[in-house]
Parts: sequence; C-alpha cells; structure tokens
Amino acid sequence: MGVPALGSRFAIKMATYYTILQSMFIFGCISCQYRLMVYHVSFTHVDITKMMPLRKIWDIFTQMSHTSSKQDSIDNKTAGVFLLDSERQLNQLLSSYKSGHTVPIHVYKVLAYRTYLQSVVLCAHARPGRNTRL
Amino acid sequence: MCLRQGLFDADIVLSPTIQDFVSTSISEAFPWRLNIDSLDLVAILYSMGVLCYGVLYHATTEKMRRNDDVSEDSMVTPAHINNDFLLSDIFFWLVLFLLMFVLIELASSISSVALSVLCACNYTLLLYLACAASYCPIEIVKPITLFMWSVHAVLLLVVTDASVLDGSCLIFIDITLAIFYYINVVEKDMTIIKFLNVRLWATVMLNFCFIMVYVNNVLCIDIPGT
Repeated sequence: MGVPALGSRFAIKMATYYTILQSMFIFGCISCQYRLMVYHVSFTHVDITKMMPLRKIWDIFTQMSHTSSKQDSIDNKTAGVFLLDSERQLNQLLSSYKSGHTVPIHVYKVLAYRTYLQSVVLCAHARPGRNTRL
Repeated sequence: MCLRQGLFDADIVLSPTIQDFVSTSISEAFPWRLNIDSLDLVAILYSMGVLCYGVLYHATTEKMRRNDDVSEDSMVTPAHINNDFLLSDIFFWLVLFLLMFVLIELASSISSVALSVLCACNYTLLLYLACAASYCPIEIVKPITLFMWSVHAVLLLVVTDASVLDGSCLIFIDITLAIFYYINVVEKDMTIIKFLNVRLWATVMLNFCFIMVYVNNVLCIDIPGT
C-alpha cells in the first residue's frame, strides 16, 4: 500500500475530531475554574535620570584610585587618617549626587508608545526625602 | 574599588558603598512590578486556532475533491501556497506562534510579556524562513536559516527554567518541527495533499504537547464562597 497511514481518510478524520475535542477540553477546564497562572514582570514609570551614569562612576573610580595611590607612599600611622578622609570624600560625592537629583517637578518622557506622550508627575516635597505624587 | 582588565573586557568591581548606591539608583529608575496573570485568553485563542485549522483543512481538502482542475497528487507550487492555501498556511504559523508564546510563558519562572512575544515571534519566523528557503534559488540560505532556528531552539531550552515534563515537551516540539522541516525541505516530491497533511499532523503533535503542559501547569482557583 503506497499511501502512508497518517494520510488515510480515517486518520485524517480522527485528527479533525481531535482538534474539536482538545478545544472542548480547554473550554471545559477554564469554565471549571482551572486556570493557567504565571508571574509577569513589568516596569512602571521608567525614569533613568535617577540612575548614576557610568561616566560619573568612572570619575569617582579614578579619583579614588588617585587618592589610594597617594596613600601608599605614606606611613601606616597617617594612612588611617587619609582612609577616613577618602571615605568622607566618597560619601560627600554620593550625597551631593543624590541631593542634586531631587527636583520638585519630574517629567517622564514615554517614548515607547510612539505617541511622544509626556506624563507629568508633580512631586511636592512635604519633608526632605518624602515625595507626594499628585 | 578594583579593575580587572581582560583581553576583550574590563570588569570593574566597585566598593560596597558605591555598589549599594548604584543598585539603589537603578532600582529606583526601573521600578518593577510583579503581577500574577492568567494565560487563559491565549490558551483559548490557541485552542480555537487549532480547531479552525482542522476545519480549514477539511474545507480545503473537500474543495479540492470537488475541483477537477487541481489534483491532490499534483506538485505544490509557490502560486498554490500564495493563493489556495494561503489562509491555511497563515493559520498554521499563527498557531505555532501562540503555542510557543504559551510554552515560553509557562516554562519561565518569571516572564515579561514583550520578551515572550519576541522570543515566540523569532522562533516561528526563523522556522518559517528555514522552510521557505526551499523555494529560494540560493543554496546557502538553507543551512544558515536551519542553523539560526536550531540555535534559537536550544537557547530557549537553556534560558527557560522548564521542569522535567515541560522541558521534555519543549524538546519533543523541537523534534517534531525538525521532522516537519525535513519533510518540507529535504524530501522531494511535495504534493498538495502532503503539504496539507504534514501541517495538520504537526499541529496535532504540537497540540498533544500543549495539552500535556497545560494539564501539568493548570491550577484550580475555585475559592469557596465567591
């Protein structure tokens, strides 16, 4: 017999019935409260202005490396003082960077939707470090 | 803070203070939200797609039997695919896309819809290009498209955190589609009925895997008193 079994009329009829049965099965499961649940991750109000740019990190890196190379040439007693100074300097840098980006009005530019929609979120500073969205 | 310099990359390890600051600034810039969603709508669409494909197959074969101009045993040509079997072909690839989307979503622990759509689209498109390469006069296109699809199929297996059953079904789907590719591209004498049958049986095999994954992942959310 030259005709393959999967191409026979009976097999094809069975396959067609199968497509109907599977559809009934899926509908039956969903109507009986059996659901497919998944975790979805999505980003809301993406605002990259809060991110520290890599150029800034590189500046800090080079500055700190320069300070540590200076320290190597100094004796152990004074090194501790310089280490504290460098930590303080780093903290000052980071805090100044953080405070420099707390603007009272923030504009989120949403380019992903191609409508160039700009949603404006007003951040009223009731207290330092506490924002209220209107 | 230290800097490791490799041949092709430079890896910067920041001090804990800066590392904490950078991590915080990035998490503030991208406030991510975790949702628990259901895939029921896509599952229904897929299921209806398979049903429609079965009905469409029946209608096409019946139409061919009534039509004396086109025989089931005549060779399939691009003109046939672009006219008589266009709808049937589109349905097949659409069903495959939906199936891959559902499987990627279910196989991943946490997924992003846009990323899953992109992966499913790439997978389907690469296989379509690999199968369509048989009509392309340039021979080199065939191995390239097949290689690209194979790499994508393996990457999907690696990237997703599929369980044993889900992963087995993904592998079975890849094997089924590899056989589908072989029949379409490598085997000669592609008749019209063979063209239609190979798509129908591929759909049935893929749907069998889908049912297995579906039954494995389905949850009863019947809350008493609601």
